[in-house]
Amino acid sequence: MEITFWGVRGSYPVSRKDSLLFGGNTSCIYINTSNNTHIIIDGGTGIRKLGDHLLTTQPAVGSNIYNLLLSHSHWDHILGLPFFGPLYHKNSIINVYGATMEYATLKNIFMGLHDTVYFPVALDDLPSQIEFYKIDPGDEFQIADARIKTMQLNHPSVDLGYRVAADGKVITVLTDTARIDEVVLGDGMVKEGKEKEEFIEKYKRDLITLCKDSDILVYDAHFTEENIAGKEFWGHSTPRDAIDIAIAADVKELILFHHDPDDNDINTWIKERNARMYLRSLPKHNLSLTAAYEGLHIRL
Amino acid sequence: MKLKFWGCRGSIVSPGIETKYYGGSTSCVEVITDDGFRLILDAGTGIIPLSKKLASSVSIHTVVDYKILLTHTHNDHVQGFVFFEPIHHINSYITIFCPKGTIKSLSTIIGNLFQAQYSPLKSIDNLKAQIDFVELEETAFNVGPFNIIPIPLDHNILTYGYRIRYNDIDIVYATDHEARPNEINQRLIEKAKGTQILIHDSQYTDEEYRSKTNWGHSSLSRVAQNALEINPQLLILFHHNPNHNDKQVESKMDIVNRMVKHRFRVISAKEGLTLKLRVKEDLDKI
Repeated sequence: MEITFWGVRGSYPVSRKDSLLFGGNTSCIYINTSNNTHIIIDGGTGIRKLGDHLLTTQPAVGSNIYNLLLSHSHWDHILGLPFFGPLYHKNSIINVYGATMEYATLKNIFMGLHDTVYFPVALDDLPSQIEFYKIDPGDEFQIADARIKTMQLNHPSVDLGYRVAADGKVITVLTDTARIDEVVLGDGMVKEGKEKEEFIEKYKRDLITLCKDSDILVYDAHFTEENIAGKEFWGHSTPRDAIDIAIAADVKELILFHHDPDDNDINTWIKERNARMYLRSLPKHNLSLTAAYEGLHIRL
Repeated sequence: MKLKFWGCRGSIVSPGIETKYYGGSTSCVEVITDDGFRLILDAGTGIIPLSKKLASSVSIHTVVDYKILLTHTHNDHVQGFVFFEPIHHINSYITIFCPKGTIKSLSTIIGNLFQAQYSPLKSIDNLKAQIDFVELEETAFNVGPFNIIPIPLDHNILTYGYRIRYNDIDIVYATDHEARPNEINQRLIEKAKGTQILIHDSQYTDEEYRSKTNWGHSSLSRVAQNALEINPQLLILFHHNPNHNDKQVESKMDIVNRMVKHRFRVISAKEGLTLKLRVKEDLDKI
């Protein structure tokens, strides 16, 4: 199994000379198994180049199946979708997995993106075959040789974390999510009352179970301990939150993801260095960590 | 008057090493008079850094008017508005001008960008700023000291270019236009004649255009033909193809320069480019 990062930025894309090393494209992660199963997590602006890359490397005859797992449908996770090249090829089958919300089904989200007031090509006019699969938080399912487990994360709307197991290895991607000590953000989560404490305890246990023994854990580490102040409701974590979960779940490698668009390369690099210092201060563990950058590729 | 480019890319952002010189942000151009009256053309992602600059320069207690003139509502021209800092300030008064839509109202189109499935803000009604929408007909109008003439363009949805006049300087902003021999293009030429500055859609090379006919963007030959007829002092190539790297964007400038036989200056728009326009002599310095 291998993983490649095509977009690592949170909130919105940045095109600044001071952010070229980590990259300015928003969330898009590509996972490929030994059976050549294509799994794409999120369709941020990074998906445009991924699509172009897939088209140059995939056979032109026969059908190519692309599996898109959506964490959620905030702009930074879907903005690139209409520019995903395989959508415009009739031999592409695109299976979209994601949550349906009270106010929008998975298909509604795509219809909205391809509404002709925003984009010239309507969803129904795309030559590829697109199938939508509604995922409820907690669902487990199989995509070819990959086993997928899900859970709802702590973020406004319905945001899914994914554990992808294949080839005897595990990659877990948890974005976007906030620490859950006080602030509970997701639709349908227990936000108040006497069951709240119980809910939080269960959430924490479930989160660690989902990450348990992952070879790679990709985790929302948008903020630092300093700049999260006042933004606890935004639904993002810090490297420290990510490290604490990773160690509790015996993860091998942690990838800090969803970098703050206000951070330039130096700030992101300092965030990574401070995370390593915090990690070093902790007793006995085997965790290593990296801040995700555009183009980061890991083969397990 | 000052003209500053905050985003020059078409279709979708393309940040990266290979586009670092011309930039990867989508359409946004700032026009400011000498007294500081500001008009923002399009709200692509370039409006985000612009708004950060604006927000840091005024106190949140100061009442500020923002005038945003949209050519149309395709995502690369509106996406940045969701992250436009002043929407979070109670003293912001934002007016968005756009061609009158036929399918949905402008307030619905902009409002839907803030729906809960797309934005944690959940609804445009949760914004602190006062936002007004003005749906334009094809008649001239004034915004502050600017006189603006809408010019219908050839694109997939109703799109206006604008001839913007302040003092004796004219700027024609004609992006998302497929220049080809037809009545729409002829009207653009007529309405743009005599402008000093022409900002023109230049998404495709001639070779690329062959497979992108009817996509609503211009080829370099057609840009050159239009410009030769309009005869500006400065032609600015705009709405760069996201697949073009810096070298390719630069070469477009050389190609068009040759095509117009250096009759006027031709440059490729670049993120951060600022032009000070007072008198003709200023243009010669560019």
